[in-house]
Amino acid sequence: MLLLLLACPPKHLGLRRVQLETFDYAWSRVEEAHYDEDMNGIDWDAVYEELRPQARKARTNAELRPVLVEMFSRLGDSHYGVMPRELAEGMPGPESVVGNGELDLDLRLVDGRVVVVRSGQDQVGLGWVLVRLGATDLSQWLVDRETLDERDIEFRLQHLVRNGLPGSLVEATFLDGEDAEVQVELAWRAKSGETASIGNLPTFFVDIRSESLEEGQVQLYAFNGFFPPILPPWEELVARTKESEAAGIIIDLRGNPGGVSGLSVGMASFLVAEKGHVLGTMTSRDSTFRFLVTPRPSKQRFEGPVAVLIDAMSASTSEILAGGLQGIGRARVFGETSAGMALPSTIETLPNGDLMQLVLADLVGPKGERIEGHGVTPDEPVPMTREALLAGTDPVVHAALSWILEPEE
Amino acid sequence: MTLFLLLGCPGKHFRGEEPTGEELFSRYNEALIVGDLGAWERSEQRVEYGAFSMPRQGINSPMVMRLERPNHFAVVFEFPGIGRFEEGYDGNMAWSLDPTQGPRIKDEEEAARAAFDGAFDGEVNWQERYTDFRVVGLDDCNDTGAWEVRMTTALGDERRYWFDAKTGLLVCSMIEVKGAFGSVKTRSTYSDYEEVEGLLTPKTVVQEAMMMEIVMTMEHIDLDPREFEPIAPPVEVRALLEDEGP
Repeated sequence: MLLLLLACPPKHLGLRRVQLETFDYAWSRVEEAHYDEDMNGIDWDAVYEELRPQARKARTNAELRPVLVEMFSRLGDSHYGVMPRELAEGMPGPESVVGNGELDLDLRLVDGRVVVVRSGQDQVGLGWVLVRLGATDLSQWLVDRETLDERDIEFRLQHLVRNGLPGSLVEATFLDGEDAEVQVELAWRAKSGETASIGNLPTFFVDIRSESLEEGQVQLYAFNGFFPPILPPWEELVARTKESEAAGIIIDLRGNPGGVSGLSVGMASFLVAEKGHVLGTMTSRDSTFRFLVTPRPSKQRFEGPVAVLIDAMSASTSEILAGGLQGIGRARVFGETSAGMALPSTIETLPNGDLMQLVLADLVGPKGERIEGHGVTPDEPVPMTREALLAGTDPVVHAALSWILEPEE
Repeated sequence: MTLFLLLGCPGKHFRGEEPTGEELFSRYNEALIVGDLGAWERSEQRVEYGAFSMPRQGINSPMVMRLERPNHFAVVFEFPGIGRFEEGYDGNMAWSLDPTQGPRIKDEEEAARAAFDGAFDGEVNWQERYTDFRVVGLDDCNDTGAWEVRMTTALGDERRYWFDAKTGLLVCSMIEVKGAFGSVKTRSTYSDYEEVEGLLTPKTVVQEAMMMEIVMTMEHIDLDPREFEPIAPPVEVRALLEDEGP
């Protein structure tokens, strides 16, 4: 009997062992892969000693995740994270999975309030202020601004409107243009767009929007993430712009969190005529990799004015493209300073089955400027205002249109 | 018993003396050749079928590499969710076709390296390929006691190879790949050697570059296949030449 007991330890010990093994693995991988041998000046061994006792108590993946997040946070870098494997697995169908519903709204912090900047809901107007969504009291998030920075709140807002059960309803309270309270019932719709699924990356629904502005004089291209489906319609838009002899192109990267970094090069290759331009350089401890643009044949390229729109939610590959085109003098950037979250990373499987986003390198722009923590600064800063939204205008698009259509002598 | 046999049959001993780099390469060639190489020597083309994976990232792809004398090659991967990736060299130019970045004609330095690495007979002609052999000493590589040799390629690059002290086979390498795209250090391990038409071939090559691990496994090799499409750049790459003029 004793032998049997020894051979079959209580189940929770086995569960704890795998969590501890996962903690050790994650700590080691971060240490070996981090671009800075000095670990940003953090005593990484001390972090291990401090947090391992907490990891020892974890019995489930959910209990370990906050410990790993705390460990990653000590480095002060973006692009570290841990997520459940279910995010990347299976996905039998958008309608059957909680979290695959979206509200067809985009929200941003404007003048300290949560404002609707895009609405696909008939009952909700642009410029309205969201006060409450289901059980979530947004005013509390704003009270927490002393501990949460604006970027954190904006990322939470993005998650908030993209994490419902398709087909279900949620009550929402808004303030309309007169600041009167309006209660509406919103339907979560299944996420739309082509799905992109690459290795461990969670399935992504790629939403692409191309618009012809000012009677076709300017073409606008917007998409919600850098995944392979964005390239064919981009190529078509560039061809259409060239064929119609339109004046310019606007690439709207506001709210775009990034994705596959190589696609920044793929998009730029239709805009850049000279060989040898580099959008950015990633540097690990022993290697460097440049985002080198090879110009497409001249008949496929557009060589007229290009405006890029960014905001505090434009991150990662959005920053490589915006900062890269700006740095080589190929585009003028409008809007607000980007997120400053630009570290190249990968998603690896952990021993407990969860997925870890791991930073592999640092990144600098074409002129050697570091993007992480700084972001891309627009050539023309244009804040989003509630007044403009209520009036049905987009001041950032307007500024870009003016630059393209009314160039200074 | 196994231990006895291994100790008793190590091929050539170096008896405490440090071998020269040339000796290690000769021994490597002797270890590779385990039968009649007639089929290899007569062949003009070959196709290698295998798989490419990045296990930590959950990425897998079939891999097909076509080679033609003297040093032409094209390797193709099909990544689910990303698309077709191709690299090659046809004697005139080296190229890559990346589904995210687009087509690229490699610069002269990269083309020279592609021509070097695409050599049909590979390491068999090492005397013509490397100079300045320097044996660093016995080291541990991939859990194997191995002699480390540093040498210079005909292109002037330093490379580091580790040869199994017992079998003489190549077990590890470290190569810095340079070009317009940057400079990437690649560490590789070679294992699961199996005979193909009289020649031992590593069936598994594990590479680590920029902190990511790539596993390439070779499934089978066809020497002089009946159908062999001539190696040429894909249409997207050829289109890049349109602006260059005649």
